[in-house]
Amino acid sequence: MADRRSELDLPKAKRAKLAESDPASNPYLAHMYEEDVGYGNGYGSRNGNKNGRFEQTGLSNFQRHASTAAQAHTAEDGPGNPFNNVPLSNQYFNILKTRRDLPVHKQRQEFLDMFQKSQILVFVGETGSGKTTQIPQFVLFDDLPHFNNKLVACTQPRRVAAMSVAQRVANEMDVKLGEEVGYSIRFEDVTGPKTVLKYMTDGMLLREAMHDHNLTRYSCIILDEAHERTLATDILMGLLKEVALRRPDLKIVIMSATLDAQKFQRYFNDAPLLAVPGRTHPVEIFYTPEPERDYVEAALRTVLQIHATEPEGDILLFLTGEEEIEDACRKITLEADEMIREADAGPLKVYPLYGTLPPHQQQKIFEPAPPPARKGGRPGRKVIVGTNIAETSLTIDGIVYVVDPGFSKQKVYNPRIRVESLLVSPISKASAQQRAGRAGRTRPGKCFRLYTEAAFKKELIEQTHPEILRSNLANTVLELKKLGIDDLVHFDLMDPPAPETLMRALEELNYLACLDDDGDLTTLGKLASEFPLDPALAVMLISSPEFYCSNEILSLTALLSVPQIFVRPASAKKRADEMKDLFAHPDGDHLTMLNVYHAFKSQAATSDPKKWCHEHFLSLRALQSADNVRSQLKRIMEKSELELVSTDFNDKNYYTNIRRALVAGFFMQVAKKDPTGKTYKTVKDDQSVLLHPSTVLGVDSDWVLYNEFVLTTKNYVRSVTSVKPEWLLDIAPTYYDLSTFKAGEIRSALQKTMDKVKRKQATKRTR
Amino acid sequence: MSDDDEYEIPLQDQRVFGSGIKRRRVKFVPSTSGATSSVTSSTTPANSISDMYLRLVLPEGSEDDASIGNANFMVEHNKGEEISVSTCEICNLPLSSPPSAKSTTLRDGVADTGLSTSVPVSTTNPHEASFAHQVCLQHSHPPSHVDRNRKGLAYLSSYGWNPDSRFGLGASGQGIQNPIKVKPKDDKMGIGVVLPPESERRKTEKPTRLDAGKIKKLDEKDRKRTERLRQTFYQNEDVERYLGGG
Repeated sequence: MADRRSELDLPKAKRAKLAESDPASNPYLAHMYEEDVGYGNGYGSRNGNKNGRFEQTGLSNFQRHASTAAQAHTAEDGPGNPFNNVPLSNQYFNILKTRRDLPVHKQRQEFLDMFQKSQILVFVGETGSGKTTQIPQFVLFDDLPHFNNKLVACTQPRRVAAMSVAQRVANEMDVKLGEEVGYSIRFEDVTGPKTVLKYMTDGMLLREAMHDHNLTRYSCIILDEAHERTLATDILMGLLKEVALRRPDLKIVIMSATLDAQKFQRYFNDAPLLAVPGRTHPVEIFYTPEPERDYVEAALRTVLQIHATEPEGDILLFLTGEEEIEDACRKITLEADEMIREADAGPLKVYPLYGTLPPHQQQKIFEPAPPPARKGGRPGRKVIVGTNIAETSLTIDGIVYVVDPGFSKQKVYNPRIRVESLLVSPISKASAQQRAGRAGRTRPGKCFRLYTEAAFKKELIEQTHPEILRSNLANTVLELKKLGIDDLVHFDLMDPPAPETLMRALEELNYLACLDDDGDLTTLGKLASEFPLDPALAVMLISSPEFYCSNEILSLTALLSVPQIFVRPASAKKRADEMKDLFAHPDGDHLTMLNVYHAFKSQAATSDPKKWCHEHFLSLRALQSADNVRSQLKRIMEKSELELVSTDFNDKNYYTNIRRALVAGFFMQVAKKDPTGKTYKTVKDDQSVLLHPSTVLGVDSDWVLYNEFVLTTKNYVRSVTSVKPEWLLDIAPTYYDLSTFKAGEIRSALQKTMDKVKRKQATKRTR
Repeated sequence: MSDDDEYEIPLQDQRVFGSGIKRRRVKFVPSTSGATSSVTSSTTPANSISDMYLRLVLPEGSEDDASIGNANFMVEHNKGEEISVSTCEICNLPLSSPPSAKSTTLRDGVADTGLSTSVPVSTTNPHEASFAHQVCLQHSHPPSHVDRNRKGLAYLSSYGWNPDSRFGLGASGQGIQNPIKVKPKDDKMGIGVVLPPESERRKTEKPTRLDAGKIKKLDEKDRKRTERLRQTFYQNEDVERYLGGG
């Protein structure tokens, strides 16, 4: 790859420095250069401790890939920890007892037999079978990665899961988190030289693969929750299929929680399949006889009905979004209070649950149901109103009743207008089954579906479309190219995306100069792939030193990578808007966000950030995580030798430079005001849009750049900043090549600008 | 596959049928002589078609068995009258009624069976022109709408993907061909609710029963409205001033 260095197509000489540095200094590759770097698995033979330390452990007489469940059983019984020979604690033996009750434990020998016999294994375990915590440990005892200086990796679709499962397994193995067992997620790596089992997000493993195409660090890779079909898991599966051919020693386990596991089996060339029953109870399913006119109202009535008539047990209601959930919580509480007063119903506690909820509030859902109001009174109940994160990611015990209106918010990407949006749409049959299953965790339960049985059969699709079919693939294509996969047409994905989506991604990357006209990765593209960011953001960040504002763009990139920083509670909308106006910059929302960040770092705020954020209606959590993201990105910038510079704040170009730098990344997300007035039209895609009501920008700016396209009945663009057409022509000449534009208002406006610029240059020359 | 064609061109770019052409009606008149309207009727015995139809619908036992049993390929089956029945491999219909010289042009060298018969040869419709055969033919698809100048297409083409092939991506071209489409939902309607069309909904507004009081009220309202309208339309400022009002 280094030979591509010759085709440096970047205008500025300083970028030349960024060409790949010595691979030995790359932390992702450290394991390949252990002798020099002294990094890697501490158990390696070079430490000379192989004979000294392991003779006595419970694992020393194990034969790799020939061990039995009985052997492992004895090793687990101690007395020393089989992995570090430290005497095992009492807590360990307590947990061990419960572990041995888990459904997977009974099939340990069966698992080992299959694992030893074949390279790829598909494992199906329903929720509650213990697969996520136990299977990686089963693998450890048989694969013995530490004797070979390797690791076992277990991927999770979500960061939180990776962290919490790693903690749990560290407890189970009686080791400290970060030593034998660790985790690695974006912006956080808790592993050490002794680590043998690493939980990580699927995205992290993919990033590692970008630098080490054969994943040589690992002796076994476990893809957990494969049924969720996240973008990264799908790509990893395609990749592992290829790696498996190149590395016959690599073991692969695909774990799924649903019954469509045959699809995985078929995909992995008829790999053997092992299924373990979960610990679930039967769930009775009810449908409505007629379709419901208003599913939210029907859901609320159902919840109250359950509370009034059904025996003890908690309720889980699925709704689509934050606003809907908060609204429903309020209404249920009001109605329940009335029921308690008038009909002597038991107390009812209502908890919302959605992704952007702060963690301490998310934790509340695990609180037990309230006790009866008085002795001998009717039992209390809790209701959790959640999005579909309650469907798979979070397991709440005690749920007996599930109310399922049949909708969820799903991401969908339309490559024709290049818009990725979250839309409320009907769930799939598989998803409905998953929801119903939530009712049977502790005892037999009931699921109330707010649609007819006929609608279930006819209108719901079988499986939710995997993420890869619903996403903008610009980032994915960049990753694939970095993974060395050029033939995107025949790359063996389980569900290949639509050709048009891929074409769009390729074109976007070409305009961003990440790919050249032959579709090869450019230096800029290679650099951009180092950043865990969308290509547009990465390109903006990389080119920001040219505009003398990389410090500011770095902050802005971080702010754009975290959830919304402005808080606007329904109860205090006006006050919140007033507070936002304090930070408002007349040129748009990006600069406003930057003002917020600078204020957040000022002395007034740092003394008591919590109070300051509360007073100013800002999300402390979002700002703190932006701070964290910023420092991580800064590290990558420093490693890539990108300069961190700022224009003097008193310079009149301070803000102009930032706006110009924005154009360098987001020139494909620009809209121009219609001559008629209020609406805007997106450049090239000709979509009619309105400025989102949350913007601080007046409607007097002709050209705006936007961060996000929000698709509802009206189309909005959110986070907008006004820009000048001259900049567009100057900074992104290939995209704004007028011959590629359709005749129309936008083209003629650009033409006019171009003529004006030419005239100006001409007069300058004559002078 | 059913709905992929409608997706192809953005709505604003679609041309209305006939735009650019003057939409004047093309006039037709009936033919003067009945004979020329049909190609076959002048020379073929009029009952041949009906014979064929009857043979298909009410076949005599033995022939029927044979033609069904060997439906997949040409069958020669000689009955006492030397009528040979062979079935077309595309539409599975018998080829030989009436057997014609043109059947030699059949694909895959289907044997010529008709020359020996006495039925007039040249004027009959070849079997390939028959409606049933045409319907059964594999038709070529219209080419994809994808703009051939796109760079993304050039990249995919260089790895062997053909936009017109009606194949997706993936190891065996099994991928979806068109992006997934989702309709934005902006109401709270549950799954499976079918709203009657707008016109129906208006009709179903229930007639309400009125009593004398209500009628009086309505009447009063009506009168006031008429009065107001008259005022606005016919009041004349000069007259008003003269009368000393306003």
